Amino acid sequence: MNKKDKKRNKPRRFRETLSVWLLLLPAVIVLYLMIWRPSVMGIVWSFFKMNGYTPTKFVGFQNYIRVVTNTEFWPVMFNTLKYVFWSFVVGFVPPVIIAFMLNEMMHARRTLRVIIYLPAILPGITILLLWYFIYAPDSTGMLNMLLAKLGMDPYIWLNDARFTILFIIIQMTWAGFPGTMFLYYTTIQGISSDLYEAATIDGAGPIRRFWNVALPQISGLLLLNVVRQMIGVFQVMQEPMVLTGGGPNGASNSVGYQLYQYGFVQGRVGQALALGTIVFVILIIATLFYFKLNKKVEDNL
Amino acid sequence: MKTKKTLLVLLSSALLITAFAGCSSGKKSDKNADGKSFISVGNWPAQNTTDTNYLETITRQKTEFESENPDWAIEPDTWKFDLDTFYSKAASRQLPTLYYSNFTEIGKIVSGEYYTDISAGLKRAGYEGKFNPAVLKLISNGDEIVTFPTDTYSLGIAYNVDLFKKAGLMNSDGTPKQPKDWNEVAEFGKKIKESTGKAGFAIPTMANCGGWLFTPIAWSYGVEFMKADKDNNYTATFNSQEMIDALQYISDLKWKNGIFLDNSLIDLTEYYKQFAIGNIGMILTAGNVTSQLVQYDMPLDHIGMMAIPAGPKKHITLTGGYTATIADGATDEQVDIAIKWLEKVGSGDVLTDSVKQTIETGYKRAADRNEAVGVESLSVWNSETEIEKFRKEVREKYVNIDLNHVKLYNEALSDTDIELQPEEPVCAQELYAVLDGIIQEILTNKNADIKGLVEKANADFQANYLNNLD
Repeated sequence: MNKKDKKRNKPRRFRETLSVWLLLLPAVIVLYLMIWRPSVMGIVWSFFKMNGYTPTKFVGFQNYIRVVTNTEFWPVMFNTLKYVFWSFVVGFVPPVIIAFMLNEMMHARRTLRVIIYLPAILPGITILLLWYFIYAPDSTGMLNMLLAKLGMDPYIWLNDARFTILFIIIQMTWAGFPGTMFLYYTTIQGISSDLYEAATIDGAGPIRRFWNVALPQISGLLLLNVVRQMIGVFQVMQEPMVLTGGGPNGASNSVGYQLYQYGFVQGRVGQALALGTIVFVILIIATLFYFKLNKKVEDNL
Repeated sequence: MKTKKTLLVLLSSALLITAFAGCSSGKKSDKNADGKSFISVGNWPAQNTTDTNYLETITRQKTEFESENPDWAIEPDTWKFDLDTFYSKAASRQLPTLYYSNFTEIGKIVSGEYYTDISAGLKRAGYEGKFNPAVLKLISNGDEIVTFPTDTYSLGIAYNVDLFKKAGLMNSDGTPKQPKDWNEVAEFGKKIKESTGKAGFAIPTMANCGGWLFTPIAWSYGVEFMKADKDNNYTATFNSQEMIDALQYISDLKWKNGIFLDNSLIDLTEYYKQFAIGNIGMILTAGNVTSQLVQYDMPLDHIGMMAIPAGPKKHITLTGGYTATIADGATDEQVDIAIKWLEKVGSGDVLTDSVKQTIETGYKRAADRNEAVGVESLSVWNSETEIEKFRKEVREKYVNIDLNHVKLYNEALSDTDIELQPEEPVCAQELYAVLDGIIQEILTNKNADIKGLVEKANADFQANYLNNLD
């Protein structure tokens, strides 16, 4: 197509795409009202002294200074990174393994698939209450009942400040793995059975099959999930809120929960917006990275 | 490409325009569709409520009110105070004209100016000098009166009568032995633990409630949390030996006396629940909580209430309450409607037949629902009013618990030796959060360095909050 044609085509192309734009319009309006506008307003207002949700005076970086100089800021940031760290140690590998195992199953695969997916269909608050009882530090806690059966003393679980975050991550992994697992599972299912058969004929056992056949096929997805999980866990909020209230003595407080405290408990809306913007910037960098990675992975497929 | 660009420009300008349109605020009309002046009233029960008695009562009151005042109307609004929605409601001017909240929120209401001054309206309705001066101080902002108090409470000790009996702590006349000071609470707690295996005493530790209930204990040890100079600059003053002693007391209850629950992370709901199901002997709480314990099926004859013990320095308790605020932008007439409506529902100082009926059905409903009736509460009024006398009469008619079990609390309400103190004047929630942290630390760490914790908390509280007051 030469340059002239391109120019002539233009108005026609807009008319052609008009229907597309119209179809997009409802989604654009919703995105605008629910995501774009609040995000922009949040960033703008974080530079204002807020009276409830009404901006009253431009104060420059004052809200940011207050957030960053708050003595809780760095401990809370560090805690949040701890959440991310433990989520990789505890939560990253099981979905992959389970997905592969499920794929290797000969019998009862369908039933197992449903059972394994069970945590994902429970409402979040139900899961948290369930784990509240599992972790209860007195003799009524489920884990402590097991310990008692083994003749051991009850343990204080979430009350142990050294491991509170780890225990919360175990809960989050339990609640969150089915979704991730199915991503892997469908990808593994998509691998040509020829490859498996060839590997099996060549004498490869399950471990070899996993390592040499399945893993190379899902490596792109693994990479993406590293970023996805980082973004997801960085925003952890309701788990510490319900299970520990951020305690003991702030040991499980997270950036998300701190933000909630600013915004909805202390009524420091300006500071909540400033901290929100800081988190937004951190996560947008991670997201850009994610998109770049995603493109690379898709190009390789 | 050009169209894309135009579209982008259009979109982003729309973004900006609406962004700033959000800052302006319209004025709400005070006339409804029939041209009558009206107010909307919050906390209205939903149409599908299970509490049909209450819905009937308030609907009757609305009908009567509107026929007695043909120019006025009441519009139900089911919104209840909730910090998750309060600020957005306030900013978009969607608050009910008359909305209820705890005293705790008065600071937020004042700093956001989400109220209409009712001092002139109260004068017109003849309320000058009628409020209890201590309460009046809490609801005032300079010369303005911010809100209309409907209930006030003070903290005491709720105890489980059954556990007290088993521990030999009941007198023969049905009254409990009253712990005179906090050390006796520890003694009593040990007796309960030894004879029943249950926790003797407890304190919540989460969602700012630990700090809230710890403040009266600290006051009784002589702690002063903050001081204001004449320019209203606040200084944190709780890095003191008194504070260390008060916290040492809490630590000893856990580690030396061993009378606390095993779980050191409990919120207020869990605290009440554990008490109601008989796992705790004594808790620090407001008297009106006794009526809520029915939701955990606490037997009525197990419910008891007594006075707060004295500390080494003071005999003091915390007082708070529930209050009705008229949202900002209300007209004088709306203020008059609101005050008249509060009188109609029995919160004012007017005793009519209708109010009598309301009080009667209120207590009957409580008794029908098996809520404990018999614990009294502080009065918002300066002197004993007709309505208070009537309330007392009706309450006595519907009493369903052993009055001897709650006698010591009811008597303590008028005991002038017990000082009443409201919450700390500024950053109370933030202070509670800081105290929650310390309490969690000392309850989960046997060797916690209390002195260091207090020092750090005092400095943090000053730097994070008191230095940022505005």
